Amino acid sequence: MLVRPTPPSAWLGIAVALLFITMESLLTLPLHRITRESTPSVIYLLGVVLVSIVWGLWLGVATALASVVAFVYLFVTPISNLADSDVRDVTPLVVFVSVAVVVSALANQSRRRAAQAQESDLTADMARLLLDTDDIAAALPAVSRKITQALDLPAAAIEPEVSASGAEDRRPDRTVPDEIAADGSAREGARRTAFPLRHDGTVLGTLRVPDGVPDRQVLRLEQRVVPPLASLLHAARERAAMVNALALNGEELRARAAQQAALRRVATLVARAVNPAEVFHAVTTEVSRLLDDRHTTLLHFEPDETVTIVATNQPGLLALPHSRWRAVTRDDGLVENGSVAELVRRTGHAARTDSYADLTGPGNACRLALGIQSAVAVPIVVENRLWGTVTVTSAEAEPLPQDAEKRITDFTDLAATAIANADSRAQLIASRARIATAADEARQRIERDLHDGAQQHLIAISLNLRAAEEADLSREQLRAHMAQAATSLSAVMADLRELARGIHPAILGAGGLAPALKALARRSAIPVGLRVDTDHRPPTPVEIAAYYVVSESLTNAAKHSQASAVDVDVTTEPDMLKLAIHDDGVGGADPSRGSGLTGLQDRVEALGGHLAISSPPGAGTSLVVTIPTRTGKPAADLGHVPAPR
Amino acid sequence: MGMRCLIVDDSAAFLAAAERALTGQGITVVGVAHDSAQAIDHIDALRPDVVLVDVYLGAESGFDLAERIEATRRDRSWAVSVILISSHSRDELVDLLHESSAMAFVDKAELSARTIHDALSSTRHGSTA
Repeated sequence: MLVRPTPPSAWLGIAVALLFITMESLLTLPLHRITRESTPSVIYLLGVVLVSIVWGLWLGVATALASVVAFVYLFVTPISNLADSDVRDVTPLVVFVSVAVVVSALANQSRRRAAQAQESDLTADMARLLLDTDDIAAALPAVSRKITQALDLPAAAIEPEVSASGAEDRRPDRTVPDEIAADGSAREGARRTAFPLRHDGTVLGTLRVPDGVPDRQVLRLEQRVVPPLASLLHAARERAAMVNALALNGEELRARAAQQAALRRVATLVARAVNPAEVFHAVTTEVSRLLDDRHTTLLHFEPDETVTIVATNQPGLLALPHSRWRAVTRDDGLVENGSVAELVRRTGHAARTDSYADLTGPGNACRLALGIQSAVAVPIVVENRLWGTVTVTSAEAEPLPQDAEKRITDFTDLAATAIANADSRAQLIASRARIATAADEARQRIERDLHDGAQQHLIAISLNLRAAEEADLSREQLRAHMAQAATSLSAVMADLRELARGIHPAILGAGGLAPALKALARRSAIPVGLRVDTDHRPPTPVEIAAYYVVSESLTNAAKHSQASAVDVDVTTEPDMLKLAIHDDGVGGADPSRGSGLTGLQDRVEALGGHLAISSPPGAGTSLVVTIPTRTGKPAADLGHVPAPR
Repeated sequence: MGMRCLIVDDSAAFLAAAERALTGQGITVVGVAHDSAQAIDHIDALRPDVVLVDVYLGAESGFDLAERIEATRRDRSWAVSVILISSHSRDELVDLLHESSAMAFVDKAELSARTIHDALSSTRHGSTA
């Protein structure tokens, strides 16, 4: 309690010293009367010790001297005897001064300790205040108060540095009036009352205390308070920056999670193979929601140069009587209405307009009516074909976020998948229908062939034999009838064989692909170079498909290609049959025109295989077919006519 | 002494017609069989000179039966010739016939004592050449 870092005022010390000397003198007086010979000067030590502890060396020594003077004056009488009195009487002088020196030194030391402890407490308090808060500026007054209290200052303030560049100009401005107002001696003090808080050369703020703070306080502030305060301020700023970064990260994560959730919802719809219209609606809704409920429209670029609104939540577009318009590109290449959708249609890439303010043109009136200020459009590309676009428009002055294109692209990809899936399904359905139709037509043809051919022949034979049976014929005539019947029967046989071979090649079932293809090659009008490299027999449907691919190709080559030779290569791999057919003819075969190739494609794809045709004009026709041979059950049952016996 | 013949076919109608026709042309049809197992039994029991085997024996293959008969040729004390027959033309089956050990083939529509003799003699010529 007595040892405080800053001693009380000196005047109070002098007053206390005088008070003590007076009290001690009054106390000694009665004792002196009793023991005249040896007066206890020791009593005066009390005041000397106390003043030394509280007010330090100089006041302590002064008290010691004053106590000696008082003692000598009051109790060593008469004064004239002083010189020849006992040496004993001078002893208090030496003792009192020594005690004052020693005690004040001790007190000084403990005062320093106390000051250090206080500074540590202050640093801890400042650390707690600065590092426990998310708002440094708000914590600064509390820190200032702590400094004020700890150092017994009249006031203190910490001004944070707003920006490093502006700070250099502003700081002198504030101190200049003080300097002008103050005289020359105050100039020195005024400069010292502002302590820049630096860390690594960067000024983080300024600690200000009023003028007239004692040098000792200023020194303590400079040495003991400013360095930790600057470090803490720096740490607090770093922490705030980190917290900010984390918060931003969190926000980004939330945004990403929202995007992912939206994508998942749309992807689920796509995976469930719902109607594409439903997917389009979902894409429009989700994109709109992710981009702050901005208006979103999904457009389809039709092959005939028209543009159709597929889905939209733009009220102005919803109200349009026609959801379809013709996209017209002017001769000079400029797009008529300058919309982002038109840019996408023209370039095939994402397009953005951050402001329509400077644009004039017929489209802008419409845009003004709809209140569109900026827009972004992202293409929907289905199997390398530009299918349409998703456009997002904003009625606000600020442009759409920079990453809008990237975020929309995730959804256009899903829309493209949905479209591709729907296309595939449509193709599959069409292919199934074609297969069923082909089977029906084949049955019809067989029925007609049987009816027109074999049946008519048999009826004729039957009539012939009946006639021979009933008429009374000579042996010669009878033989002629029989010969005619046998000839007719041979014709029937030939008819039926031809028919049976058309339905299914007998040799394929009995001997497999190699002899069956050999038979085809031998019958071909164009010479065939056949290489068959098979180590096992593929499943029957695969053999049949391969057989018909070769058969149809040879027929086509003979009909259209004007080729001089056809190469046929068949190889089997453990899980795959590969078939390559190439002719050196005129090329230019188009699968979309002839039904034969489409039928082959259906047949191959029904088995999970793939048929690729390449027929550039003048370079012959190449057909490459792969059919998996280990897929368990074939993808679809072709239901062909059973093999004949 | 007429030729002793065994006919193997899964069609009863054809068996009856062929037996009647060949018998009328001086061939002794010692028996008929509906499948491979029956055919093997009959060969050992009836000792024919010629076995007419249909290429398609229902689920079984006439080629396989022909090969079995050829493979066991040395186990027998007498010679048995195999002739494949089919309602399919030789043209259709020629690629298979080349691979088969039984070279002789007769179109069912042309089956007669004469075509059987021709087939046997052409095979013998072929095998000696």
